[in-house]
Amino acid sequence: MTLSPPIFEIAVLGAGPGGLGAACRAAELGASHILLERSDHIADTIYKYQRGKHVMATPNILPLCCPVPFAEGSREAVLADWQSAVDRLGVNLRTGADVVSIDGEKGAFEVRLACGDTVLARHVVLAIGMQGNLRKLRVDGAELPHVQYQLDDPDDHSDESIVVIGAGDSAIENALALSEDNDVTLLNRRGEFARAKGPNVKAIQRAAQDGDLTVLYQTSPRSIHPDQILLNTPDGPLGLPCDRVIARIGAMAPRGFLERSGVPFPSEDPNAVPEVSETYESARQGLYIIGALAGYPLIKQALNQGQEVTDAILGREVVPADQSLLEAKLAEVGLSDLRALLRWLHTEVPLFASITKLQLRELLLQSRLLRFSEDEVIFARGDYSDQFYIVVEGDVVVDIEPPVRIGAGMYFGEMALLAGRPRIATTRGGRAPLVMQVPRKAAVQLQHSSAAVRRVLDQTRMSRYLHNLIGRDLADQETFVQDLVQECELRAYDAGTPIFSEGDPGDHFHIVCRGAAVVSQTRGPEEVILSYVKPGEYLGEIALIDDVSRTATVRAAARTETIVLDRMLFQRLLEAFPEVRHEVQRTMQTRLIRTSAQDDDSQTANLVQFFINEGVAIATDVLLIDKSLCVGCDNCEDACAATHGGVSRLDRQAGPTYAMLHVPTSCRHCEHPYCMKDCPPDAIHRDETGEVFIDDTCIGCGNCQQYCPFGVIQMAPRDPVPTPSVLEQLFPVLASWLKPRKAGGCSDGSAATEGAKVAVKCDMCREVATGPACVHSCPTGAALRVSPREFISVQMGLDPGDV
Amino acid sequence: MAGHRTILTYGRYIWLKLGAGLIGLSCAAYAWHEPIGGPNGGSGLGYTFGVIGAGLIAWLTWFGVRKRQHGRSGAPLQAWLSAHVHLGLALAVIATLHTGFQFGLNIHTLAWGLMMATIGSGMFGVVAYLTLPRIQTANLRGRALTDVLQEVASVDVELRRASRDADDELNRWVQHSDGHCKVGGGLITQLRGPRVPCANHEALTAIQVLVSNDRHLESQSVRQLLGLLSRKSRLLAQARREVQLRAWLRLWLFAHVPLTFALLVALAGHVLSVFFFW
Repeated sequence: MTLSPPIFEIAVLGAGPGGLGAACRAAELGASHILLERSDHIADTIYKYQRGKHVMATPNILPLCCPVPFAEGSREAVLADWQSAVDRLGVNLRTGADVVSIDGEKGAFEVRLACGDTVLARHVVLAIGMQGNLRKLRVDGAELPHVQYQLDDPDDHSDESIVVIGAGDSAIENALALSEDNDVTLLNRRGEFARAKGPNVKAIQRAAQDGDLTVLYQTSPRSIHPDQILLNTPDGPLGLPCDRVIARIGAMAPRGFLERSGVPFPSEDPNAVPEVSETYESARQGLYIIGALAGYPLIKQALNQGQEVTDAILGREVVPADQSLLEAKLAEVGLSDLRALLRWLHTEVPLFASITKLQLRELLLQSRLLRFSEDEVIFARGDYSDQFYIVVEGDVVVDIEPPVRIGAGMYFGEMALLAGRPRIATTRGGRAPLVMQVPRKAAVQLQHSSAAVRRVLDQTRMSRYLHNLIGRDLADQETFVQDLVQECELRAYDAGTPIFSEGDPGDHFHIVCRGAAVVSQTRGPEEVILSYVKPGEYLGEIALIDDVSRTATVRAAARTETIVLDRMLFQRLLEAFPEVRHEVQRTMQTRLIRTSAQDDDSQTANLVQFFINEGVAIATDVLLIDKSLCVGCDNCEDACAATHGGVSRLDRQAGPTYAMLHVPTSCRHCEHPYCMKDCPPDAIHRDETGEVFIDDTCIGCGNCQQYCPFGVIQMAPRDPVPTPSVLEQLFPVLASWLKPRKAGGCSDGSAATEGAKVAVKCDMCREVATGPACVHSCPTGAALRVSPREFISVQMGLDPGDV
Repeated sequence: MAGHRTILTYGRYIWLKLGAGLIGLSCAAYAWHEPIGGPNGGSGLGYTFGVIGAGLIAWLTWFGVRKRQHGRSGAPLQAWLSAHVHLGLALAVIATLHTGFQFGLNIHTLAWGLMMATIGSGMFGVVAYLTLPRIQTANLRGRALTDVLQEVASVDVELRRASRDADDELNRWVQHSDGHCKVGGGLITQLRGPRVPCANHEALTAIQVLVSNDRHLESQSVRQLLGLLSRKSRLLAQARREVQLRAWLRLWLFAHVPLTFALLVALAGHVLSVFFFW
């Protein structure tokens, strides 16, 4: 008698977080299941992390709804917790199970393994992530035994010549770890490390500079041989002796396997992920996809999805982990039907049309719903922004002439956020508005979520700048502007690159929509800076109107974006709107007069250039020290320390100086703060008045410190260090006699410094009535806080009102 | 720089105007008043000047405390310093008028003398504050002193490398420069600035003499040594000049502060003796 193989209700592929979540839930509910894992242990990706690595549990706001325990902690602690959950719940785990194909259909899937066995299941959950499908080299010799795609323990290697290939974080981390005991060469196909995290880029550049390893740029492997590797370099072919090749060229969705399994992809984009339903079911019925493969790379999301998918398969009511949080959010504004709101957002807000329902839930979770009364100010002109808004009900009114109403389904406030500039118009409540306030981080995620979202955002942005230029009631020009937008182009320039150069033929008209540009002209041997152009202003009109070559050079002072209209479009615009022609001609005339009258003062030009080089041009507020007045008393630092828990957030002496102006190391409150780029708890915010500050949720990871190019963020004890009283400052010896000593303690605060550290930086003394303490406490008036834009304008003899 | 002002011109000369007004009024009152027995501190006007003067001294002294009270609301510290300077100068006139020009060898004249010395040192401080920072910045060309010292250290490393294969005599001089150069030191050394004896300068001169006496020594490596020593000389001169300027910026405080305390004691003596023993 032969026993027919068992048919499992659920076969889960991959024992990563998603797979564990699904299998543990099935085990908990007593459903028949099998968890198939290719390696010989659970959670292979985390297993391969370096020893002791800290595993984060973001997003903090999301609760964990899953029988698998998970909290932030070391790699070892996380793995031990998970293993014990698997043991405790009696999960049917089969390791060493390499799945080669999935045949059959819902109710009767046949999962074939490399060893020849077949597993039968009614439903299949794919939770295989991306890391199981590493990109491989495609050169001769790639199959040789000394070519590997992973590095388990760098300490296993010493005194070897190792070539690491790749430009991402893992390639850099591997190369750095190996460089301690080995001769390492890192190959980067491109001229820079654009994909890697800032701290890693800095670390690799430093290591290369110190000679710890060699980095070869614009170099790719040509062929690999047992004891050497042949390379294509910009200077021609090169042979390098090598004992080991480690290629870290990324991972991708196992597209071939999925397509063979009947799961289609929505596009040819290599980063595309398969589409899934609200219950994670793919286009192939009965086959579910969760975790990184479905576009959710975070551990907590994958664990929760594991529970949800099992519940859905078993016909239980699926309560997403975020359900109660979302419902509470709705209840605050008197709404109750979450499903209806999500459906409405998806169908009626063009911006959200291309994102998945799951992404939409996540976005709503991070956002706030707010009701405003009529005429209540939502934000005021001149405020700095940290969010943008979507009108859900009613409408809002933008205070421009004539006022503009923005109705349900439209969004507003994104211009200032994307340009890093203060709000250009006050916006008030109109007819009973309910708005969704999307925070900066979520907005940035949304912007990067898909090309379709970016297109919608770009087109809206272009049409708003064009409307501003035309400056009339929106109604009668809407179609014209929309046509124009379709033909305009958005171009980006890195700091320092020319937008156009003097003498070039002039074919395009530019409207600056992000960053800033500097206009200069050659006069004799010198280059004289003529003006400074900010978002909302335009460039290049002289060459187009007078039909001459470019009369000046324009360079991006920071990363700058411009909306570009070619000659034809520009002519069309001028013909359609005689007022615009008149306005542009008037601006042109003003500029010509100002340019001709401008002093050929190279000192001013150099000063402006200095500010631009030092990144001051992208700052919103900067501390300057007039060195002709500074007596070096350090009262500014003392005042800063006294106001901020004993640690000064500025270093007076450090930093560059030009002529008599010194830019000390202190926060510049950048328009696009680098520090906000990768803050895990999202603890860095921008105040309405422009100050960038770190709140109490800082976890002390140091990312912001690494990202800040100006070195103004430092790590300081969370608990304040006591600052000396006036008596202690005046008579330190006397005060130390009078002060009772604590047994075993030390009075200089060094005990406190041993505790947890958090990131600190200048917050412009936002809670002090008299403003920045450094300026208030400078006895000679040498310290001053200025808006660089105003400052540069004053230097160039322009009207500060221009900026 | 646009919109920028010094301690003298702060607030559109508000404190200068007030100080000058106070002096003008005091002088006019002094000229108008004709007390019995000639002008003296005991007349009605004399007492008035005395009270104003003593009040001013107490208030001016309070600046030392106010300077250390960070995060206080009210006027910025620059306003306080501007007032301190202008009213301090007015004090010299008011207190002198208070004496009625009666001087002698007593505690009253001692208090006046100490006050004038304090004000004198303060005036030196004002001049130093208004002139030296500019000279400091020009001297270091906008760099920090630590940067200059670091560059000296890196020149030393290059010197050591360059002199490795040099003749013994040359090597000894390089070591002399390496081991005996100091920036700063005691007060006199600091105040002398670049004029102090310098081991590097001695080494540079000695090597130049050696080379001019012995043509065999003329080589590219020796020229490199001379170049490095000259660079170090220039850097040391800059650093010492900075130390010198910093010393002058602080020196007056070492007179101003102790004189203030001495003045307070003498003033207390003056007031007590007037009230109890006059």
